[in-house]
Amino acid sequence: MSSLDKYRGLFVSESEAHLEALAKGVLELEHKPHDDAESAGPTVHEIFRHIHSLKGMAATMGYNDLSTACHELENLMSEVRDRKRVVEKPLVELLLFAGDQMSLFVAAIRDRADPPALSALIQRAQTISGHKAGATPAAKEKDHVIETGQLALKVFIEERSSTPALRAFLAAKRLQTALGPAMQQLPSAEDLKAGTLPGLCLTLVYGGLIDEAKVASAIAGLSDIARYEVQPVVPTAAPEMSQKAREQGRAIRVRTVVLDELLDAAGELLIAHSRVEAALGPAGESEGGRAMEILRQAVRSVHARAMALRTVPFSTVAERYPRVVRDAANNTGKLVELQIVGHELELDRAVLETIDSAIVHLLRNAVDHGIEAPERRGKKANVGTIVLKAQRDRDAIAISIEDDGAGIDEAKLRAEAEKRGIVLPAGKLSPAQIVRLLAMPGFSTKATANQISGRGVGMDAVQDAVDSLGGSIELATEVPLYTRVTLRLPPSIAVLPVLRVQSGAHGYGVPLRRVLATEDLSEGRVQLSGLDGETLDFRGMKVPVYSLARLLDLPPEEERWIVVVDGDVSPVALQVGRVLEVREVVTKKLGPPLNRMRIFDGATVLGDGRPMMILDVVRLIGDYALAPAQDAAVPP
Amino acid sequence: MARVLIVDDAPFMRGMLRDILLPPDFEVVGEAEHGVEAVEKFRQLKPDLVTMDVVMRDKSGLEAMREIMEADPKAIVVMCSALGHDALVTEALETGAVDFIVKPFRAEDVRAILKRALAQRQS
Repeated sequence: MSSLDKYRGLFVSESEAHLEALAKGVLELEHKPHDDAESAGPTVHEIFRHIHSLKGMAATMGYNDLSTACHELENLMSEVRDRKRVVEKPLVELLLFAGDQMSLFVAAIRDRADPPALSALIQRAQTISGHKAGATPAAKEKDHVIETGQLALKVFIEERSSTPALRAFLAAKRLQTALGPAMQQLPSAEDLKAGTLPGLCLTLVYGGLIDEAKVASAIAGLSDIARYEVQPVVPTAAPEMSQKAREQGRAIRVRTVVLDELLDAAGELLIAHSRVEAALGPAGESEGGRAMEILRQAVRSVHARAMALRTVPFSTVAERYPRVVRDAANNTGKLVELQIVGHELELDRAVLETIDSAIVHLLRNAVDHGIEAPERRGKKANVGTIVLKAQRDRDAIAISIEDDGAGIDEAKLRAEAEKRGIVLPAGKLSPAQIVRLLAMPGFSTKATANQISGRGVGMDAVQDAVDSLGGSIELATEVPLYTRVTLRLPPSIAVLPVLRVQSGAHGYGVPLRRVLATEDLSEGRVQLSGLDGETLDFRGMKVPVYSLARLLDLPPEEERWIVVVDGDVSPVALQVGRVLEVREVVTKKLGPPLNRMRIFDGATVLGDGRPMMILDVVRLIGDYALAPAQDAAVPP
Repeated sequence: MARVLIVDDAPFMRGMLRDILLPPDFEVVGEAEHGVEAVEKFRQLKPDLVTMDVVMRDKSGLEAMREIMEADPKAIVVMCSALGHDALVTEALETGAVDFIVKPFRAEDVRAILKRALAQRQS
């Protein structure tokens, strides 16, 4: 086993890829007409292929349980492929179960733990393969005709033939006369003329049908043929697949941690460069100045490419979601269809990883609390719809989850809040206030948390994930029509444009995304009202004003500038000493113990080498945001 | 019994083929030692099958085969070639030759190929 140990990592990563693809294929299969081999064929074949690959790897690594399980599943899928079995619910359930079990197995291998026994899975597969209730009578009549998506006819020339390539050339000609022109011939006629026939094997690829009787009679008329066989095409199931395969051929696997390190190093380069630039002062047209400019561009280019390496399409996480929704719907007896828009949108992997579990929670929430039971949907279609959409929104990413369910009932929400002793302002709650309420740890309007939304993360965890990325949550809902939650996220978490402000001796960064306006009080365009300068008129709203020095518990100073920021619930004004500049900084997550101070979102190193803290504006003023404006002016 | 015309410029090869192609399956009805003669004999004898040497003096086997095919599109011509003339063989196969035999050959192979060629055209 120890000699195989070095392949463990590869085994795990490749197996995970196969299992993910398998899960996707099974869900696809479920939605295809079972009796339509034309449409289900490629999916069946893909599933077969992934199981087959997994089996091979498992056997090589000596994981007998896994390879046995794969073998049983492979048998079942080959029966489906050969139309000796139709896809029925038990088979789909088995494949889903298999995906889960095998994932646990692979995860155990990854974690160097004892893998679980797969006997239950193997037994279930054997039970299903035992009675072939699905065999179609039509399959028997058609036995002489092989029918799937694409088939390869392989003809092997006898070893003793003195002219194998010529024999293959003639075979290709005769077979295509009998069967019609092939989609693909390997080797090509030109190669055969040149005498090339690797493995003494001629391959003709056909879509649709291969009439075996015609093959047999054509072969009978040929000399030096050792044997022939008809197989489903393996690596090129469809034209777009072969394109994908070609691209994969040019790709290498890199551990993601290496990419993170590369991006980190590129970030350090950026910082080091700006320090050198600051130390040298304005260089202008000197030789040094030009060299610095070239260096700046090179450093930026390295950083941009390192960033690009970390982007992955939304589909890498989204492929899992149909299963999430399906399980949630099954558990609650609801009928739900998930539509995903924006599979191809490229996102920073780090952003996706952070937000993935939040999306899962929101999807479960939508099924559990949003979509009604079929009999309670009134005039709406029995089957509820959830639309998950990922799109670019200016320089941010917007991921929205919209369900056509009951909407959020404000009266119920209020009742629940009162039960918990939460005092709410009078009048209609704003969407942002609803989000903040829902995001309070443990807050729920459902009497009993079921196993779906009750487990794992709650709305508070969603809020945490979004906050940690410096994003925001928006909510739109209407009873009894829909609920839409939109997560607005930065496209990447590495480079952040910030507004540098000064308070006392220190500079702080305010994420530019949050900044609505800045005003110089000395120019007299804005007036603070109230004796203590508590509120500000901003676009017709009364906006509470907080002294940054006071919030940070710094010595009081003259604060001549106002920065109006988006505080999620409503705009909030920060009074600061000075507003310095806007700049793009490479942020670093804070390590312990500073990461406990939730008012900071990270830190960066400035050109002069000094660190700068990035403010988490919402946390900073957040505790007052739900309270009515007149009480908010004086922080306790 | 199939009536065969043997076309080859080497008397040795013609003799050898005549010894191989025996009744009850085959009857050698004529021999030609170059392309021009081959076309003449074909028109005159109307054989069931022609074995055609690829490389001959005068008219090449390929040209002779083309003329024979023009005279009778259903003619069964099997090319006969030494190793190393693959390009000529493939060209002949593309222009209408039914099959080919390669020298040196084994008696049973030649008979099998010619029988298949006859069956090929009949079907």
